[in-house]
Amino acid sequence: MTRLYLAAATLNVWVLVLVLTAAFAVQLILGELPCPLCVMQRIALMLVALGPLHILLRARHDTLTARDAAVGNGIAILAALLGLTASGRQVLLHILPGDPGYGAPVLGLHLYTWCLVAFGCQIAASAVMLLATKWLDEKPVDWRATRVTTLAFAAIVAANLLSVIAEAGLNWDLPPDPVRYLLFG
Amino acid sequence: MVYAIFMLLVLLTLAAGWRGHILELPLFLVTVAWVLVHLVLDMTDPLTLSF
Repeated sequence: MTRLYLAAATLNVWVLVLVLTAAFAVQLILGELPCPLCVMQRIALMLVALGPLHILLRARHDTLTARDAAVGNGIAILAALLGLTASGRQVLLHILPGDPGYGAPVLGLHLYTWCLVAFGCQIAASAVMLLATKWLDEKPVDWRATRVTTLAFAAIVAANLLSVIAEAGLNWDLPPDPVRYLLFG
Repeated sequence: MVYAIFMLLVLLTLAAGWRGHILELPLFLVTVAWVLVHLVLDMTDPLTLSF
């Protein structure tokens, strides 16, 4: 059961990495730079991923206990609530009829709407993971996917870090409607 | 730059978790609190136009 639990946590991190990568792809391919609220949602996604990563990293050091799983899922839920606030705010900003929204829609919904869905799903998934701690057998498990999963997450965060520095330049905050990378003039 | 700091805090929290450091959870909570404050200030400042 512990192996299944770690598999679920690993899948959770990879889904979040893919979501962040997809947002990055939209930015680079469509040329749509993220606004301040968009960046806040990306940061919330990164904070959410720290939850299942906590579970994977605790299992790496020692036997995964229900306590470790509870902390990891608590981290994910708290960060997802933060993300819901940011994405909900952006949905409401553009909710009036006739408002074109911010950025091009992807598969019929804007990215901030997809984020709202993603954060809601994450809360549900974390709730299921919390219930599943009932069946954790708390035995040491050699889980080899932790290192590559952690590296993939660190890489996408680092890429976003470089991107936001390029976008903001030397300014403390981002412009509300960014159209160019201020670091490059 | 503030968003870069948030992301650096995420990486720092990850590094603390990798090493099993006791600061992992406090770093996460500080980051969440600071992001929340920044978000609320953005939402309540009449001069800020968030898209």
